[in-house]
This record gives sequence, C-alpha cells and structure tokens, in this order.
Amino acid sequence: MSHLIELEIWQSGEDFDEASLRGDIATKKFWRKDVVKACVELGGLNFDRGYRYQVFICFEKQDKVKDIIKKVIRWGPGSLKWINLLLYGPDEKSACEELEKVSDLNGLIEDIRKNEDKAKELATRYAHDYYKLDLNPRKEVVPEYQISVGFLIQMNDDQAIVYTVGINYQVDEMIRNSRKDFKKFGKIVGYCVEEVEKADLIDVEEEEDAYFVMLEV
Amino acid sequence: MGGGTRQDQIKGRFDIGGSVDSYGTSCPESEPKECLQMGEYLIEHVVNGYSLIKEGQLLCTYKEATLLTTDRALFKLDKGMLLEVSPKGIRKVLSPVKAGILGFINSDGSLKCSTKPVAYRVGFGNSSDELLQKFSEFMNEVYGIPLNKYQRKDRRHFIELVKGNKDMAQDLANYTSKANGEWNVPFEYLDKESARMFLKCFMSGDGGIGYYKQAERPTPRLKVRFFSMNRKGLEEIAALLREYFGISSSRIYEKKKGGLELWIMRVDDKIKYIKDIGSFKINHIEAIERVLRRIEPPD
Repeated sequence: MSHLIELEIWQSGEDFDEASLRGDIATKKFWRKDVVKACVELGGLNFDRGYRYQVFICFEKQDKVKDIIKKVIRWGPGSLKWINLLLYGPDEKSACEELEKVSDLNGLIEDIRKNEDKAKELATRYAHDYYKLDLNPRKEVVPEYQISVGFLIQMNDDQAIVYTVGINYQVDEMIRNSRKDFKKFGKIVGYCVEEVEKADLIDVEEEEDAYFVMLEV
Repeated sequence: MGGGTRQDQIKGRFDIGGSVDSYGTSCPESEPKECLQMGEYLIEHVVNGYSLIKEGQLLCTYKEATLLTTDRALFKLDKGMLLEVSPKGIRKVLSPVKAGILGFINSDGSLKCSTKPVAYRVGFGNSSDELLQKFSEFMNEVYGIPLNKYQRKDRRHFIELVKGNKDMAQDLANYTSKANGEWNVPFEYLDKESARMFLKCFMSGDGGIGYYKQAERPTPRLKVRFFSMNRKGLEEIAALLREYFGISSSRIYEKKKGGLELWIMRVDDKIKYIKDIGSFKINHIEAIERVLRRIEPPD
C-alpha cells in the first residue's frame, strides 16, 4: 500500500483522550492541497476471539478525523494497540480502494477452501521432501499457516476494511466472531482473502496421527 | 565505578538502611546454617538477621533472606529488589513480583517518566478483572501504594489503574525503557523465578494460549504466542525462553497486516511453557487445563 503520509497518532499505554486531539492537530498540519482522502487505521488484539486485526476507515473530509478516531476507540474490540492516520494523494489508492477482489460470504468460503487445498498440496510436498522414505502414508498431512480475512464494511458515508489475522484451522470461528465483533462499524458488504499461491516451509512436526506442516504463505 | 567514599559505595551497593517490604517468596523452613561461605563472601546468621562479610569486613546486615542454600542466597532489599549472593559474586535481582509488574507494563501498561513536561505516571489498562487485580496486588506489595481506578465510558469493560508518583515511575524506569518508547527485557536483573513471572505477566497482557479444535481432526492443537510491535523486545523474550526454560523453538511471524507474533513452534516446548510458566488470564488458564487434562488424564 503506498500512501502520501503515515502519521502515528496513538500507541497502547498512552491516554486514549489524546488520540483524537493528536489526530486533529496532525490533520491541520499535514492535510494540505495534495491530500484528497485519508484512512484512520486501528490495530488491535483479540486472541480470546481467535484473531488480531487492523481496521482502516476511509474518508474524504478532513473534519471527520476526530470523530472517526473517537469511534474506533469506542468500537474497536479486544485490546487496542495503535492508531495511525494515513493521508493519500490523488493518484494513490486508499485501503478500501486497493481491494482487487471482493466476494460475498459464499465466495469467501469457496476461496478459503481453495486456499486450504493449495496449502495441503504444498504441505504434502514439503512433508515428502522432509521425511522422504520415512513418511508414514497412514498419517494425515495438516497444513498450518496464518490467514488474513478482509471484511468490507459500509459505514454511513464512508467505507471501512477490517483485516483479521488468525490461524487457518480456526478461520470459521474467526469469521463468525469477527462478524459479531465489528457489527458496530456498519454493514458488511463484501469479503476478501489473499490467495495462497506459494508457501515457505517453517517446520514439520510429527504427532501421533498426523504431520503438522507449518507454512509461511 | 561508583563515586563517593568507600562507605557510600558500600551503602549504595548493598542497600544498607533501605526499608524492607514484605513480598511473595518465603524462606525455607529448615534452620539456616550459622555460617555460609560463598566465594569471597561469608554469610553469618545473627540475632537480627544475616550479616554479609567480605575479607573480614561487615558489609551489611539483612533482616530477611528469601532463599538460603549452600550455593545461593537472596536477601530482601527495598522496592521489590533482592540481593543475590553466590560463589560467582553478588548482584541485584528483581523479585518475582517486581518482574511481574514490568511484564504487565511492557504489555498492556504505560510508564511516563519525563522532566519536560513533568510527568510521572504508571498505568495498566485491561478488560480482564483478574489481571487488573493481580497488577494492583503486585504494585501494593512492592510500593505499598493503592492505585486509582478509572472506568472509561467509551470503552465498556476497560479499566485503567493509574498512579502518578515520581519515585515509583523513576524506580520502574531503571528496569524498562518503556517510558522512552520500546520496552525491553531486564536481563541483568532476572533470575529464573523473576524471568518466569516476567513472561507470565507479559503473556497475560499481550499473549495468546489457545487449544483449538480443527474441524475434521480428533486432536485439538495447542497455540502459544506473544504479540508486540517491538521486534527487538520479542527477540529478547525468545532469548529468555531459551536461556531459562530451554524453550528454543520460537519464531517471529510478521504478517503484512501489522504487528509481530512470536510463536512457540514445537509441541514439547509449548507443553513446557504451559507447565513451567503459564499465564494469569482466565481464558489462558482454561486452555492450559484442557491441555493438561488431555495429556495427563486424572487416575
């Protein structure tokens, strides 16, 4: 993602009340003629619900910054870790604009299934390379990797994209929980997931009934 | 080397005259030996405590020892510090409780310690009651000061415990660089017990322990991970896990979508973590119990 200016507004441990004030000051200072749109980015942790996340709220009017920062503080689930302000020029795509493929929920499930098939194929190849003749064919090969699912949300006048990051075998729970946890932001109008094309091998671990192949996709 | 007279140097180093607060670890019940020689140092049990002697010169008398074995002794100093005496020499170490405070601050806490503008503040914000209570208990144990509690109107279930106190903030800033930006692991002041508590408290704030069932598989999978924006800090956590607990299979993941995760990779290391270190967070404790029930079923 390329953006004109990235401003760190707030970090975990700092006073929440300072975040919107800093956002306001930063806007006045940096939102010049060549800035045509912006994103407020929130990063947070919600491991108890199976994920960590980033929210990008994309908007075009600078007088909204303060209000949007207050909203992300109020609505962000779990533990909030950082808030940034991203300012974009006319030729740059905001976080919402740079989405290439947006599907409905069924499309997302289908894309995840395809990813899982591809990951399994890669994991199986790695497991064979790793164990060679010692590989027990009766044991299942299970791929394990981090997956990021995007939720495109229509807020009143603005749009937001929420990326949740979790573990592939927890993805159903992650989607279910995220749909509830980010409801306050608005209506989910689309989903996206990165396509698994290739993966690096991190580790292979043999357990009683399976080989767990950890991948970096 | 320290300045001042030799007497001043000894006073500073051995914390003579520092007030002694109570804290968690208790001394072994067995009778201490009358005299213990540890390298250059001699420890003598005297009426009002323990004398530390070097080359015939009395360095200090300590009221209380929290550990006294033939090759290691720990004496209580003030503000949650201990003096470790061993054949290798002496050093100050963090008590487990104080190391826990630093673990909490480095994860979900805050530390302000500045002269321009003047701001001294220690805080910890969380939505888990058990963690807020633990932090409060620890702070009270080390500094004897109750914390102020703030419930935010805009974030339900989120409470901040805060105290503006110069001495306390300055003292904690000696052991973590959190006030200047990125946090660090206070290696030189840790022993195994304090390292354990540091990790346990950091995990409680910014970690994840989960025992997840995969849809088509009979066996759930254990996940143990730490989160931070601070790569160097996570590398130091990995070093701590390796050096004190023999947990060597950790790896830092940096996904495009912000932040870093340190994963413990191998099952035996994950089990070692949950058995040796653990967490104070209820969700983590429940996951640990589920794992232990499975791997060590009751008779």
